Amino acid sequence: MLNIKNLHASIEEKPILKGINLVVNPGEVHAIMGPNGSGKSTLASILAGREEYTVNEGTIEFNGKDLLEMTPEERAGEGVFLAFQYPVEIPGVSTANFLKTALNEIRKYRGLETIDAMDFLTLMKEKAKLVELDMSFLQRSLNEGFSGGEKKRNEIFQMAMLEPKLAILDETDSGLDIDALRIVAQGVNSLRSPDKATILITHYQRLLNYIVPDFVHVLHQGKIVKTGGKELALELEEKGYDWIKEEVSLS
Amino acid sequence: MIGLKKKSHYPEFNIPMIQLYSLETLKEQLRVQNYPPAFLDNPQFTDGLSSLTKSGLPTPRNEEWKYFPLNSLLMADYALPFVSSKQYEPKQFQPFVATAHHLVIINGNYVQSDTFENIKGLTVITEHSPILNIVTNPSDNPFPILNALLHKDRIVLSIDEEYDLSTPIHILHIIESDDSMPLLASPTIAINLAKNAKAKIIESYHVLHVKKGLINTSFSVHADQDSELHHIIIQDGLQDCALIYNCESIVKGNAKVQDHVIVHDSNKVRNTITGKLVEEHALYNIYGIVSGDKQSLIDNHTIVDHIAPHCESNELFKHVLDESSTAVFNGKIFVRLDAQKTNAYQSNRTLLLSPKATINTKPQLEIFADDVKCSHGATTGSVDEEALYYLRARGIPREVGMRLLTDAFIGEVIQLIEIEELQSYFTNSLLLRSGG
Repeated sequence: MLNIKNLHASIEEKPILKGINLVVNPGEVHAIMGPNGSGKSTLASILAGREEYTVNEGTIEFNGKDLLEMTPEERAGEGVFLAFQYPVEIPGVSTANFLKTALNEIRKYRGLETIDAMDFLTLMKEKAKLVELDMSFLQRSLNEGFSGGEKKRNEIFQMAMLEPKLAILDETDSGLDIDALRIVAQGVNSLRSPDKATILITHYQRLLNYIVPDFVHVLHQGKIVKTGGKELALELEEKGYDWIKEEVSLS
Repeated sequence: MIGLKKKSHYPEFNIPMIQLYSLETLKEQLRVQNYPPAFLDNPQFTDGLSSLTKSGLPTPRNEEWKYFPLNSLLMADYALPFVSSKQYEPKQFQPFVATAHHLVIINGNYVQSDTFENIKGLTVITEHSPILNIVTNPSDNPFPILNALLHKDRIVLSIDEEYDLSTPIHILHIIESDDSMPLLASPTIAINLAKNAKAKIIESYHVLHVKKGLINTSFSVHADQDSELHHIIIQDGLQDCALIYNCESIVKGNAKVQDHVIVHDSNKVRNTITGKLVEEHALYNIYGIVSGDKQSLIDNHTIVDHIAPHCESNELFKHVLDESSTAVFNGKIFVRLDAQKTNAYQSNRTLLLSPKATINTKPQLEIFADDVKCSHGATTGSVDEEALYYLRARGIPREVGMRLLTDAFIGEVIQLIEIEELQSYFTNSLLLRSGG
């Protein structure tokens, strides 16, 4: 599904990613962990199409297409979804109106009919339940005045509405209390399916107790320096990131 | 027309052509054309005219007209409109407010109404009388005087004491000409609300077959105690005619007047909108939405004059400026010495969609009383790129996202329109047509 080869990227001439290789197949959940400043969020931003970053080398293929050639909206149309670490507040645009526009634009991209108001409402009710989001939230301005937890739940709600093929969760667990974490994880788990894949970007192992990954990758200084199963996350939790850093500097 | 009384103090007169750039010539032309002598002898007019003649029409050196050059408008020969006998269906114009009563005014001169005969509490008369609809200082704003000199019908709508006209009245200004000469129309309207009367009035402009022209409107409101007026001014599609629009409201005790101006797809508009709070507990609100594109120049001057104590005023203007458009906002608030316990708020926000768009904004507060609450604020910015990226990451193309964000920006002002039909008309169509 996703094939990243030798990805080098920089922002304002400062190199951040220095040769990332990653293959994600349908049905898989990959966790990308790493210390602060290792390039985790940069990778997420580049996948979603943020324009500030320059890709200097390497390729990203998504279902056989060149992802780097696409605008952010085309990527969303192809089925890429980024749950933002810091969701943006947009006063005056209701969550419902925003999602209806998004869903219809994606359907248009895929050559499908637009969804009618009744079907949209039914779909919203169903998906709001998944993340225990009150319907009244959806009439409020997008993320405006939402608490941190509400914003993150809103991200997962959007993911449920748009049904992406590849979901990238950028530190969705940061700033969540244990109840919010459980709700978010429950939402993500219920959306797992054999034809969809998830990339979890996280600093802590905690989220991985709730969403069990198939692979754990450790990102350090812009490279994936170690890959393992879910037990690698536990090891990191126990020993911290220093032993990885040492291993890297030795080799 | 049924339901309309015509009060004529003077014989019909017609002036085929005038020149505004020389006031001596204008005066002479008015005399030669048998302009009603009472007009020219009335001191209100002669004083106005002579001070105009002395100071001339405003140049860009005058602070009030700094950004609104009048040269090209004033250096033309104008034809004054003849009486039109055409009939128009209000339905053919947008927005059509189905629930409203319609009053059609052609070139400011002629009145055609559909359903006025049966409205209890409302009287409509047209009159020729030497009354200045709006009194101004001619060196700062001579246009109300020119309007008074050149208009034919002054259309007066009076709402009787205790009457609540729940149905809005929609005044359609049709500007039309078969002539190739530039047209000068001078619509003149007065609204009188008696005690505890309530009304909603919509004004809109519709220019048909005019190659070039100037509309110089004078609109006055007298709101007596406890009365309420909601006044919506739609200035949409004024491409071939420039509009100089003057509106003044006198608001008495416990009365409430709300002016709401919407400028869209128009080339050259100058509004001077005034609210005078003359008795205690009067409320005056002035709201504006300005959408500019191409080379348009939209200039809004507002004057909120707190004369009596314990009054309140609220002002909010939002501009969305695209391409090479320019907008001017000058918001004056006066709080006179006696106007203690005044609450006066002003806010003006601008969204620039193009690097070539310009806003000149100037809040101007002059406060002489000491126990008042006044605030003003002006912001200018471009579309929030972070927000736009967020929308795009959800599959919303850039141009659709821009439209969502600009709609959201002006939505706050549209929601203040208290006529539901108009509110949904502007929510659904205003910016869709501008293409964001």
